[in-house]
Amino acid sequence: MDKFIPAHRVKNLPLVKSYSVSACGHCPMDLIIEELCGFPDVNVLVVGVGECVYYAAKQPFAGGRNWGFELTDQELVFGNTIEIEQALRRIADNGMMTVCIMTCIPSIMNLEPELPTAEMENCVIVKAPDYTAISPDDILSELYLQIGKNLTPHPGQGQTWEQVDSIRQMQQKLTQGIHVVNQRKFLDFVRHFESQGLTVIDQTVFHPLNYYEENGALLGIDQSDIDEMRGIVRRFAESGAVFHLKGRHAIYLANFLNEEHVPVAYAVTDGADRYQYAQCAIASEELKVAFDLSVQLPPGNNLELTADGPWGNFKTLCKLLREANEKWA
Amino acid sequence: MGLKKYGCMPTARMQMFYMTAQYPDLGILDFSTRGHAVFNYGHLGWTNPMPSGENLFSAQVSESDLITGSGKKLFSAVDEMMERGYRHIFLMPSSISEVMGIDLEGYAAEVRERTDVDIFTVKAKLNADFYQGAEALYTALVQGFAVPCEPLPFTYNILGGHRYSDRINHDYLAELMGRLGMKLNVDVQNSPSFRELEKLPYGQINIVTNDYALKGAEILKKRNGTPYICFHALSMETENQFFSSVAELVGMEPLNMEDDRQYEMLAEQLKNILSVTSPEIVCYADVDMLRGLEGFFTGLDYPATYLCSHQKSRYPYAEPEDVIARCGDKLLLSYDSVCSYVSKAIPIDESGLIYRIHIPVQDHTVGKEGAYRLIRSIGQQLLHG
Repeated sequence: MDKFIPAHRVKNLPLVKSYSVSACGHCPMDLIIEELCGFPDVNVLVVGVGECVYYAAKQPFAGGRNWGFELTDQELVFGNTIEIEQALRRIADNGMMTVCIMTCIPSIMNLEPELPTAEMENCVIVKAPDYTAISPDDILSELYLQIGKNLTPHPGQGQTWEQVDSIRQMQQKLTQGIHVVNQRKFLDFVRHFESQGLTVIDQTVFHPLNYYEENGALLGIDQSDIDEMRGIVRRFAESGAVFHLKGRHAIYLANFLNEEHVPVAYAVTDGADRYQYAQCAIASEELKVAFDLSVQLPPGNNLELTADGPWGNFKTLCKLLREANEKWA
Repeated sequence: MGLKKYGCMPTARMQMFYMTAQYPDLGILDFSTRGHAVFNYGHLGWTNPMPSGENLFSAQVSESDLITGSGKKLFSAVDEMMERGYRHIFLMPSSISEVMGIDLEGYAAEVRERTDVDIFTVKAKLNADFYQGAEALYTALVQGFAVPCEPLPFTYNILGGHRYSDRINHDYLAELMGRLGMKLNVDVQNSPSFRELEKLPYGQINIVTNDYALKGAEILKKRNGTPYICFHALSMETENQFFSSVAELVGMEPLNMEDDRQYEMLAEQLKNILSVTSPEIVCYADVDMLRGLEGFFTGLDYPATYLCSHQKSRYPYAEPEDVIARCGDKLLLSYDSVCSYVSKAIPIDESGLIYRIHIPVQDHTVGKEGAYRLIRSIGQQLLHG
């Protein structure tokens, strides 16, 4: 029982399940490089100590340059960033967007190269230290926001955001209209343009069934599926039972069910990130959570759900509810 | 200049990790962030055909630990390692501990007070290179194990070795020493366990295959009177000289080294090829490889330029960028990743930046066997490009 904490007391801190390296995730710098390596139109400059430069150099890049900047006494002792700025100028002279990744040490030292001139307007700085954030995956949201905020929306139809394979494609998709965001990493970036004629449909969290009914046509959802889900939820609500959930989407599902007047008291999920943290912040007062799937649910109406799918997607919701319905039958 | 177009050489901390990760009974606690440990762990598969990593742990330092200076995670990590059976722990330094001035030796002392774990750490300056890291680690290891004792006659230790190919070179050296009637006591690199290193002081002589182990050899000489001799042979002549020296050191009759006519003829052929093609040769490697190459080319009476990939050696230091920029039309003998940017090059070492499958073939880079392979490679490159 002591493995559970009230959802509202979850802190914005990394979780440590075990100190073994097998329980660790990659650092944000690595995630950024892996995300951008297939883009044909982006350069990367990794600013850090020798380890960062060495390991970053292992990743070949499709189109642009993947260079490193190994900090010297000039930067470390004097905080002088002139050489970093010179390096950025040199890399960016191929005309591509350049992402400057500031790793742990430059972030600790608050090193920030100045990018005031026109020749560097295609450079962005992403602070990616490994000692912050609940999960290193959280950095992708920041990456796309930093890259994307220099882009300009243009007239056109809305888009669905699933994957992108270039900066060029990001610009092409950035039209006015309704944007359905299916991947969390694009949410902050697309939302940045809400004041410029974009409407954002967030498909990365579960919404109340009424929401799916109103936007069914846009999201390609069959009314029959909505009706089926409504039936399942009504059955749960009318039973008066309080549920305990375990599974990858447990906290998301708990919040959905609570909105639909189905109380959930415990949720066990696997790992934490900023999105789980955000879900905990809006959870009901009664919900207690644990972030390790090895934690046992207390006795009660326990539902251990294995169904999986993209976060917040309606199809994922249907799979989960159908599985829950079957197991509770 | 900090800009690195072609990556860089490993740091001191990375080298310490690669050299200690091989001991299954030595737990390694990386006092750094979670991703740092994963990088190191993932790289084992690039440098070793049988990577493990089960003995690697990370303190998973976060912002709150840095701000409060709390060592709580370090102690919790040690507890977990003890639960998993580790009685020897290497507390690995990190760039974060160096920049923040964290007293790892102080933490290690506190762990020793609280537990019966044998925990040690080694200092590494932020920008210290891989060679300095290897030297610092070796010195610490030997200091820990060097106790006065009576050596076992006609036994030897091998001090040195850090890459996968060094294991094969050490096996070759052991085979040759066997012909002298000498028995291997401890090969630090090929040792099956960390505990095995306790036998180090019992070796009658130490054979040093890398200069970073010299300080360690000096310690054993001072405490136990153990003499040492360096092995950087990369030709028939230098290999024979080495064995004559070993025989003299242990008071044995020198081996009757027969002239290897085949080697002499092949060396002569290479001399002819060099004379006709007259390449300008540049060798860029660590000091040990350079010493071997210098012996090799001196034996052929052919000049070469020697540039070192780390600081504080007898050869001038250069960075990969400079070597690649200055190489032009010269024939470069160097790391695989550096060679990939040069038109005329022969890879003689691995930087770890290019993925390879490591297979246990006898691909020596030392002694007469290593020289044969080098003769073949250089001849091939000069004749057929």
